[in-house]
Amino acid sequence: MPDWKKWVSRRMGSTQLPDDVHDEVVAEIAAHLEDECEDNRSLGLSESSARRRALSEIRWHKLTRAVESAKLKEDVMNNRTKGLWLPALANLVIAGALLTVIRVFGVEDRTFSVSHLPMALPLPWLFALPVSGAAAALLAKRAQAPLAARLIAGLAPSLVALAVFCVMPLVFLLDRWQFSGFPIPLDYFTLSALIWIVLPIFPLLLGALPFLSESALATRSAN
Amino acid sequence: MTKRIRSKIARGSGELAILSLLAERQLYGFEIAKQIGERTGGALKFTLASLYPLLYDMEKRGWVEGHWQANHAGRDRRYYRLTPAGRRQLAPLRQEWRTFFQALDSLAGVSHA
Repeated sequence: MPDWKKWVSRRMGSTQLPDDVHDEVVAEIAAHLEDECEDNRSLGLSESSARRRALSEIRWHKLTRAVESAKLKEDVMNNRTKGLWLPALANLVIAGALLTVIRVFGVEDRTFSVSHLPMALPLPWLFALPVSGAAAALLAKRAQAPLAARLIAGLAPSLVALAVFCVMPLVFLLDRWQFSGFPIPLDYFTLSALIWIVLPIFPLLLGALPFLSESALATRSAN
Repeated sequence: MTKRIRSKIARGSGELAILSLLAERQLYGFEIAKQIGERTGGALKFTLASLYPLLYDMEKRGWVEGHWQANHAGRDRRYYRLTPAGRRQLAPLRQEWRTFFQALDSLAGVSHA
């Protein structure tokens, strides 16, 4: 009689399951094969035929993926929430709060004129943004999120602004490129996009940077 | 019928079959597969690859719980039993399938086929 546990473990290969769960799955499937083989032998099959029949319909790669998917389903969801959505949301909230606090305390934006329209450059906010970028990347790192998730969480305000500026032209087009009756010059729109999408990337990235590199991660976890 | 719909029907029927069996008594994986095969005259058949992912998924949803225990031959097997949540799931699932078969019957007369 073969050592089913060893056999199943070899066939399943490495999985993303925690070691104790992996061992339990291997033990359970090995027990099933042992029972099935014995059942086949009780029908009069030889040892080798019984084993062949028990193993005939198993696609090991497919089985391994299906077991992983079933066992990790909720964990994946939780990991994504903890490693991406919550840090991104925290980033948006902190960035929004910073903007509000700066306005409440009366710190003036730099203003200049574009196509005879006033344009505000929120310099104080941009200088404060590394804080929210850092907070988001730190939260994502603590949730052991991969680099891409930490980066997306860290740049969330810029990404949201990008989405908004992608939708805005459609709205303006419906209103013949006007906003509440006022025409929107193209250079004004482009510069606004630059100020709210591109410029925040730099301070956000600056704040997130210490939590993006793997070496920093390793050093911190070692500490 | 698309593969997706077939897969959903197979999954749903598998859930009902497992819950119904475990409502009678606790069983381990091989027993579940064997009993389903025997009691449906082979019409429903669970392979190892289809049974365990479904059992693990049902366990994750809190419908069944597994525990190791020696079987009648003294070998350790992972027995599954119904949880209160699984028991609550059984009645609506039965009703859902009853409605499904009645609807199919009124449309295609499958009960007389």
